[in-house]
Amino acid sequence: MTRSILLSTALVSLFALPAMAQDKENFAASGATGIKLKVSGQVNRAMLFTDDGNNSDTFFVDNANSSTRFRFTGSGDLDSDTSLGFVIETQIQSNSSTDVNQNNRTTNNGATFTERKMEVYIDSKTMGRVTLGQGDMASNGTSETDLSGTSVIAYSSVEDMAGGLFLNDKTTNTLLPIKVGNVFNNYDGLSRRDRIRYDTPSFNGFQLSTSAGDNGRYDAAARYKASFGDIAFDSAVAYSNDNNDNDTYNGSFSFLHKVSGISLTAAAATVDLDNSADPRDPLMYYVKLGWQTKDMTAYGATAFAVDFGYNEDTLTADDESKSYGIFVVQNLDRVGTELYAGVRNYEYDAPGATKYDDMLAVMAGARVKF
Amino acid sequence: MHAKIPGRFLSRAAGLAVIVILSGCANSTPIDPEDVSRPDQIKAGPGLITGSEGEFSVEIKRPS
Repeated sequence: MTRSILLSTALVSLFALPAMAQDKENFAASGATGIKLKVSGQVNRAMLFTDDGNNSDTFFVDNANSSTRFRFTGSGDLDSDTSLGFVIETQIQSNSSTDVNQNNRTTNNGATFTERKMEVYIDSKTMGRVTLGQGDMASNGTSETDLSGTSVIAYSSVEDMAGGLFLNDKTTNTLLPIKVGNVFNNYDGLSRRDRIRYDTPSFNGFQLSTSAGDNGRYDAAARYKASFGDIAFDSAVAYSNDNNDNDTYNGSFSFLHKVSGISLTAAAATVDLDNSADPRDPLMYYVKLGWQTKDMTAYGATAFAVDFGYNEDTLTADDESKSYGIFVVQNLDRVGTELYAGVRNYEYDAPGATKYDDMLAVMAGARVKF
Repeated sequence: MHAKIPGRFLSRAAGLAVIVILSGCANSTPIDPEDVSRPDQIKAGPGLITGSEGEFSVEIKRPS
């Protein structure tokens, strides 16, 4: 019942948007005293073809690189320096590309909403921002800086394309209880949690953040972005501790040569496991070379990229995971849309007698934003 | 029988390809990094609902 009410409310809101937009003048008010409410979101659907070495499958998925979602944000000025606001962001995924697999081609049939952000904040231009509620921990996103323009289909979280698929035993031709998502990880900090977070103001492109979350989680991050002539640079590093347990050190950077459109992106992470009996020493690195141009079509920028991702000690000691792919994204600026396609191969190897088939994934789809 | 392609030839071909790409890019329209979609970001795209304004936004005047 509650779900029905939520769905109805959301649908009524969405269908009412164009009419509300036309009547915007009736709502708008000038000056700094207004409370601003924004509605935004996206639908991101794709077809996913996979070949596990024994069988091929086709899925109709919600692209987990950037899930279908919508959000409401509100803000108002307390005075000339300080504002208050909130964020509510929820996602609705049917057949997430990290859930579907050879045995389960349909997931989340009820298509329920799942929480992403529910937070309030107070923001001072001189003192920084304090945020309370569920949202990004300070370290979230620090493995994922990327200026290639292809992140809707490929970024350092390489498993988002087909993470739910089971690997195939090369010798016996049977599916193993190991998913692609079990052997790749970009160790992108502590994700979204219920927490309190503080961000400093940005000083010449530098910004520091820290947060403390439920179950003793805490982290800290530094971000820097700048332009040097024709070069745009974006970077982040973080330390995080999950449940007073494992220590994660991670970071990423991305260069974009604005004139040529050529970009270079890299990320790396290591985890210091708290359990001394665990022989693993997890490591991840990722590199991507991209090129984007606005001169290929009149619709918007076209972006190409090739990437390579590497993990070791992810599932068992001395295991190795490699992934590489090639991707293209076509922006359609007038309708807030990206068309995309890509091919990715996953390889896994671990000590022991078991030999693993590669997993090939091909995805094509569209992300429509509003 | 396959002819062996020397490594020197491959490296020269790769170098030539890079030069050709860079030459082709020299007069291209610059990319604004603020327009580039970032991972997990839902920066509103212009057009579909709100025209060039991006996010749908209403500003409600506080009662005086």
